[in-house]
Amino acid sequence: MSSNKIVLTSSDGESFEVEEVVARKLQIVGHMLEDDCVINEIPLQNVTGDILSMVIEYCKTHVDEEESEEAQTKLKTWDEEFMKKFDIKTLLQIILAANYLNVKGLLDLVSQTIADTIKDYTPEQIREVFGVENDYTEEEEAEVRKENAWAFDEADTPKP
Amino acid sequence: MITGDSIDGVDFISSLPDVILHHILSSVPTKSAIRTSLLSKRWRYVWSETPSLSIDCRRTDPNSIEKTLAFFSAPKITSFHLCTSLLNRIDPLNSWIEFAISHDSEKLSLEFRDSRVRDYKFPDFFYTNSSVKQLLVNSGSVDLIPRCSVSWTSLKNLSLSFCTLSDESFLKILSGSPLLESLELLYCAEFMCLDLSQSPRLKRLEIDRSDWFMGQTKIVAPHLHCLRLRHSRLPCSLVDVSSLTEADLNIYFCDLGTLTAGFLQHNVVKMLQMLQNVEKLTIGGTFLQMLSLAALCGVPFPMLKVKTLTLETMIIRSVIPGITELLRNTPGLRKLTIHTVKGSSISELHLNAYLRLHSLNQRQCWRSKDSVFPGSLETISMLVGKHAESNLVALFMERLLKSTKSLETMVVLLVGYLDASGFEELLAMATTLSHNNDVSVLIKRSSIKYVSNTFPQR
Repeated sequence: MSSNKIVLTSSDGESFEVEEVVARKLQIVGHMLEDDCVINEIPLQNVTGDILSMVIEYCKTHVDEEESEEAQTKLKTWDEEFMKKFDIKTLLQIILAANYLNVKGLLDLVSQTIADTIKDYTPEQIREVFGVENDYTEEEEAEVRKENAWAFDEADTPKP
Repeated sequence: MITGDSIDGVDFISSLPDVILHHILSSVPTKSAIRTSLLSKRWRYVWSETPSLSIDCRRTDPNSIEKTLAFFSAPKITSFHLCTSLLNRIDPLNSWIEFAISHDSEKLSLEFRDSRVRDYKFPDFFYTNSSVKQLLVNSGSVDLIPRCSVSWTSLKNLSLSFCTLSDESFLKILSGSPLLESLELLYCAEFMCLDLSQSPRLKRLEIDRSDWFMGQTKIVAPHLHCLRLRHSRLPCSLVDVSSLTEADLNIYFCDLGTLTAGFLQHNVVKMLQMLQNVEKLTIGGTFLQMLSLAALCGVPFPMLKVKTLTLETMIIRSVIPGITELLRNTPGLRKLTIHTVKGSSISELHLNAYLRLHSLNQRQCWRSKDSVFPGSLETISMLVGKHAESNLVALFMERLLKSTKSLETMVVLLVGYLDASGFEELLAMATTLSHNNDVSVLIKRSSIKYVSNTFPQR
């Protein structure tokens, strides 16, 4: 049964043939398979081929999650290297795809990667790295700071 | 951490759905999450619906935190972590706990960092909570004394550090937590007896006793699968642990008198006797030294069904008699791991004094062929240079391999021994050992330097 192949098709028409156990890591696919067992081709509307291939790469690596410490450490190292491969735009596309395809492990992994950046950066740095445009007026900005002043109090920020 | 250039002025992150942004902000401290409100109007209130809060307000005015929590608009939170001082903030603290409980927080973690306040008592409502699944209290000063009955009907994981907990309070907590699966009691004071026989779901117990706790903890836990006893000054008295399959045992003692030595060596063997069904066993250095005394005094060891054994010890000769006797009594052993952590050990002088008392000659005891190994901590530095360390590790491995027959795999996790060339030398020697003994040998350098048998800083 595990050797059963499923074809996943991206929004731009790229097809990927994967083993059923891998496809099931995408919970959206898992649910479809439970509803109707005879599907072997699944169109995925909201994800492009280049992003889907990354998601599949993640799922293939995580297909059998062994509990042993050694296996866990190995996976963790793989995850770190995997995240280093992408620029911010791709990371954000992957997180969007992981959310849509419901791959919890990948969603958590990319979230953590982005969170690590946000945690250590000032608002100005975050704006620069993620291309966020500041649409506050100076008065509004002062008001936002005042609303939760303690969070902007640098003197109180614990050293990392 | 993401580095590199920004994305050509395209603000992709702000177009992500809120649910994803909340997921991301759940992994940062609340203070950093709040700071994203300054990014742009899109971001102003995104943080306020994040389902996970982590607030460190040791140096923050409690009123500011109150104000911030008032902005918070998610109906339910998954996780609430608070690190606070207790000084002058008992009232706000109770209202923050109430906030977490009223938002059905599944994970509640409270860390108090002020030992000057010793009389804080949790309010009664703290003890009635049907949402919390995971509860952590880390405190240097708090007595956990439920004046009312406890009702933690969803609680699965409970971790208490530096809490004072009487036997009576403990029973109240247990009877009020019917779903409890895992219990950690780290450096908690006062309790003497853990009777878990009425908690059939409780499978995992971890205890680190404080340095100053002199009594012997009694454990009645017929349903337990996994037991970790670290840094217990005295061996625990295991009354019933018949379902145990995994155990991790050590004791912590440096200044050994002969009376204590007798008591200890008797009780460590008694603990082993209770591990009838354990297949995965980890033993620390001091525990092994006491097993050595028992072995040298001719105390019979129980037969064990252990398949995987890990020894967390420095390479010193006073652990060897204990280890060899242990190996002789584990005929089904498949995998042996030696983790050369730096931990506390008992000085050989104390051990020798005890042996003399039993008319045993130390020269015969630390047998002539074991004399190549260092005696205790002090002599290690003296040995360096005299003996190639790689040779020492290989000899130790060989000594152990000779005492076991069924072994398939030996793993050596090295800490502190050997530089790069020494490591290469050892790898070569290990190949020979592996070939001669028909065992696969794996040698790695470990980054874990210390096991938890040194008292952590508060």
